[in-house]
Amino acid sequence: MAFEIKNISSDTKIDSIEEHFKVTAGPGAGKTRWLISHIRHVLQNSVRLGNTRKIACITYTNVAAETILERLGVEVDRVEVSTIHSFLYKNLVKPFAFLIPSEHELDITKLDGHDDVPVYKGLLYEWKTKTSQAYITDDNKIIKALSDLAWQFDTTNNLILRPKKPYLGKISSSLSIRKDSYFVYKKMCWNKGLVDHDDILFFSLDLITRFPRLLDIVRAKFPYFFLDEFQDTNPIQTAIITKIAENETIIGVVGDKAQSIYGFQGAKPEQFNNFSLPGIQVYSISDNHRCSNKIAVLLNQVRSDISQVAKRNVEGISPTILVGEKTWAMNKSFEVTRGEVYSLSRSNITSNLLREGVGLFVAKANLLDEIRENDSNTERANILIACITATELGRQSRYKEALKSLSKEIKRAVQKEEIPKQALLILKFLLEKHSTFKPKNLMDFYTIIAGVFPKKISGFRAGSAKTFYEKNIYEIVALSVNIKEDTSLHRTIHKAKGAEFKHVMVVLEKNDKGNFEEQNELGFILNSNLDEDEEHRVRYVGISRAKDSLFINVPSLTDEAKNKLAKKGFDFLFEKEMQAQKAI
Amino acid sequence: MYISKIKVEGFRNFKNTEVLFDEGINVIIGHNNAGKTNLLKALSLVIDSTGGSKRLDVDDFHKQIELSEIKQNPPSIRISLFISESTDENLHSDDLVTISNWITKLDKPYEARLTYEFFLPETEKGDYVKAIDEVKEVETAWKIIKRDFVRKYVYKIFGGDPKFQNQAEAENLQKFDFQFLNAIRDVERDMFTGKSTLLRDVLQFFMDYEIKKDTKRTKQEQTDEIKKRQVAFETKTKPVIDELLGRVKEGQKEILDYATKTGASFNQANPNFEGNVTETELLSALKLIIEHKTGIKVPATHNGLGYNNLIFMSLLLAKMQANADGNYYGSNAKVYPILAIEEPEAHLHPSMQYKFLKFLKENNKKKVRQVFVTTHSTHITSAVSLDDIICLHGEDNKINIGYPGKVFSNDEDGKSSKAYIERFLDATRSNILFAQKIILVEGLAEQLLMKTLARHVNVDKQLEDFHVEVSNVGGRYFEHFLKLFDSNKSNTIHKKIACITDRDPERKEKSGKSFEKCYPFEYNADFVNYEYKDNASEKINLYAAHPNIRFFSQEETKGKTLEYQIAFENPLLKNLINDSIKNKDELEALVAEYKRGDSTLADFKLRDSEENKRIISGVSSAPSSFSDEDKKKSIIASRYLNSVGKGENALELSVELEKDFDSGSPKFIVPEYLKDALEWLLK
Repeated sequence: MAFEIKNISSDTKIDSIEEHFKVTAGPGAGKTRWLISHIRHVLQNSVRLGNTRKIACITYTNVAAETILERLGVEVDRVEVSTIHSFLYKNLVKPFAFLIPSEHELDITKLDGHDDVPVYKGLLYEWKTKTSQAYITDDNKIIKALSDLAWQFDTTNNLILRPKKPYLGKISSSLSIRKDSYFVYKKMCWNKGLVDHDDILFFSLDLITRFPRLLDIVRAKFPYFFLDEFQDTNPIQTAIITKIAENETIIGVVGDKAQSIYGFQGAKPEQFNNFSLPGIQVYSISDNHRCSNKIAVLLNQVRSDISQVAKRNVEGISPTILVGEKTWAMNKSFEVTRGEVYSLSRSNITSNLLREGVGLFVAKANLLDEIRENDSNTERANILIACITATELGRQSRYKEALKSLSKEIKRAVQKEEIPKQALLILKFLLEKHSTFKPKNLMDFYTIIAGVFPKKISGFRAGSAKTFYEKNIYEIVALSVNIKEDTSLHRTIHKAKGAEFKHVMVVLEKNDKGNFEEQNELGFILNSNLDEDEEHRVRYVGISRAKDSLFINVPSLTDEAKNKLAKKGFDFLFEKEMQAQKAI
Repeated sequence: MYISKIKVEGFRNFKNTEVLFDEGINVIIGHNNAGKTNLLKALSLVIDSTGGSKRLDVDDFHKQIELSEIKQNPPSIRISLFISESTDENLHSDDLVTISNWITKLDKPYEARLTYEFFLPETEKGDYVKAIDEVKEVETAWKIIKRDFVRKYVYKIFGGDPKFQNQAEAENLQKFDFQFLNAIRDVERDMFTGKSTLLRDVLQFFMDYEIKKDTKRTKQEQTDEIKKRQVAFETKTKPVIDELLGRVKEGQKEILDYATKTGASFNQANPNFEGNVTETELLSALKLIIEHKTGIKVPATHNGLGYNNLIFMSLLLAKMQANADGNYYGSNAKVYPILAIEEPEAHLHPSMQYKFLKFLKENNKKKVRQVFVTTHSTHITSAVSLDDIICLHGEDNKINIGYPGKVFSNDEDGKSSKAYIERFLDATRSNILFAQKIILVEGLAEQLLMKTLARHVNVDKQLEDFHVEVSNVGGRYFEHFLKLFDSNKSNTIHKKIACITDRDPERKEKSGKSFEKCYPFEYNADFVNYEYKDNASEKINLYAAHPNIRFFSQEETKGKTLEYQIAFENPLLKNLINDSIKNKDELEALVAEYKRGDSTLADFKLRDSEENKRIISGVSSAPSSFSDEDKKKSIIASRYLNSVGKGENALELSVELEKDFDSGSPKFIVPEYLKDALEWLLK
């Protein structure tokens, strides 16, 4: 179906608020700004809001939700801004949990929010027995597969539960986890009240399919339903909102297919392109209110489908390639800008490394996962991981999440009323002792927390756990903590989604084997293919966060690449000037 | 949506009671202490988000529980409101939004549930069990609860099935506007001046109403227009204030002179006067007055109590209309206004009661969504339909809820019964809905005499003391009424009902077509030529073992009607024969013969007539169970029966019976079946 695409700017008020719409626009176009002004527009002019009905505004992250709430100000009582998971949990899953069929084996009296659910060893063994798969002995591989489970549509549009990376289900060339046993595992989790974010999508779709009147309830509450960052929407979410859209509720989506970077969560860029509803109006915003002219020129070269007009009309400094080690690059970029430079990395560990200023560390493995793999005592492993996570969150003043992480483990040890107090005491203790245990190994860390934790943590005998704990230093392990919704100076590109910064340094790195794959890492500029290559889109998102100055840090650079990049408008700075000259 | 049911557990006189409600008006009736007020209080505990404390005291618990129960679990109170989908409800209105998180049943009609719980937290239960374990007397247990535990009780309001413990959000609870007018309302003196918040709110809402309600203007235009008026008002009041200031100018120096001297002025800051008047402030100068046709104006405070009550209630309704106005209150507007009035009849003349209820029922549907009224007024019940009435009936600490509108089946029979009862229940006869026990009688005579007869039977058991209503159903239409009270059927009101019906024996010639009335002495006298039946046996047998209904009638072989029976049992009682009776001389002669003792049947002379011949011959061929004595009494009773006009005689008779009773040595013998009826009813 061909649509007439109407060009608008970020302060255009669209005529009809009673038609479905899709707004597509590149980085810095002011999509969110437009969405907020559209919400105001609807609040002021809608005749369908009555005295109680609301506008739903779905964002990708809690931080984004907070930003929108803040910008909306006093009108918020008629707008519900949240992530899709919180929204569905609050409006469908929680109030109608009693309708979830018993065959799903969910214990709804234990249903208490949704969270990441680690694989517990106890449950794992129970599951092996139950599904007669005791012959699979490589527990760590099973854990990897189970941790990767996600709901997805099969070819006949049924929801099935499979690892996102299908190869994880294969234990060896001749041995695979039985496909029908995944759901058994899931139901065992549900029976314990363990519900993850993905399950919320499953339950929601399942509920509205079984009980279409639930759609009427959602429509009654939300005659308008807007979704930001729609390009990263999960297909299940799309299925849900398509159903809601059938009657009464007006759906509006905002996004940019070139910024679709959550493929590993099921998002597909074409889904945004193909998304359509009867009578939908399509708008596009071609302005860029964020970037300097020079950065905008670069962005337009990387991207072929649209050409943005840099509305700020500030010339800016040329984007610069910093060839060298990342701490040097950080310092260099600071020298140039004399301002705060945000580093955006591809991997979580790198961003933590930059934040901590740890120079030498090279391993890319997630050491927190390795704790679980090496310690057969799941409870002990979980307590340690919770304490490490809480410490790192606390150090970034993310106390609420830090306490949540601790509470999960304390829950089984103390009375319900005592949990918050105990969690707070431990967090305070951990933060005070941080400098003590930071340079020590995990064994010492264990001894320190074992003395205060309200629950007895089992001791060690010789074995892989003991060896692992003795070998690894707290400081290094802590680098693996994945701080969701990171708002610090150093984060991953994924966590910079939707944000913008004055000065940005995108960090491109060597692979696991220590080689810098220039064609892969810089390919998004050299031979850009945003439509098909998600890695290109990730880096495109990275560079498009910058307002005034953009740096790209690479460990090395070939002359060929340098020449190509120079033509695209880049400047260059080398850590080892001599070497570079030699190469020339 | 509407509140379709309340379930009250452990609260005051409700151990575990469910009451169903209808959309629109609900008239709750019942004798005193049946729990009408408690029911409204229970409603308010769940739904009233503004007024009154939701914390309860030890006396709010249901006390009729065993010691063993209290020992097991601390007493708790749980009140659940069930909210159901209306027929033809628009699902995309504010209703569903308000209750959606509390839904317990999704398919049409949806049902949502709100539950108020007042309970001792789990953490205190250990102490509780310890404290109460040794207690021997239930009284002591309650004392301990009062002294040590009730202050630790907490209350919560849950949405949905309470077993999931999801607390209802205040945001949605506040959408209910519960206005409660209790019975002891002293319509405050200043209720009728703008100083009262009620009147001021109402005035403020309706100020510039012609602009606010004008849909032709946009919201912006409305606001602008009102703003213009506000500015104009302030411009006009400014000179007035200035004038006032001018008038106090000289005096001001004197007043403020002290301030300077006492040191209240320092740092060159001097006290001064200033002022401006906003519309809102000046509104409090307005008073409600009553303007009579003659032009005389009377302040509302000088009005009669009844009128002021009405005015108060109408102001409240106006206020509720304002509360629910989304344009005025925005998201603070109420979605579901509920009005609960205790005894609206207070201070109101019966005909005004009738009118007020008609108004609530018919004119107010759109603004107040559900109305709850408790009442003792038959004028109110007669103004509404049977379907609107909910009857609370308590006996032996058990509460039974009757729904007079729901007891009738949907077939022709049910419909005609319902129509009959609706016609029957006028303001007087509605008393049967309020009474504790009922005697249903066939005619005026029984109705008039029953009270006096009860005194003769047992002076300590007066009908009034037992709240017994004697109701004349005007014939044998008992069945229509019994449908209301038959405790074997659902929705009925379980009052004790004694039905008093005449034996009225009948016979039919075997060759003949129809039964006709006969005398008791003719009954069963000639099986060769006649068949027999009587009016009462069937009913008496049918209800012989019924839990709350009995039929009573005269003795099967010697009874006919009340008058017949009275004369039969009391042939010597002179007072029976009063001036309103025909054939007075003849009857007195018969009584004289009877008194003589040694008279024979032949001495009983009757005036010559077909009927009298039938009596004489009938008596002579009476069945063998008739003694000579019986035969003599039968002649007197038959003649007496044929000589009385029912109503007037009954009046005179009741006066005579009162006299007889007051004489100190009453001679009157109460017919056995009436004695039985009274004894059973007042047991």
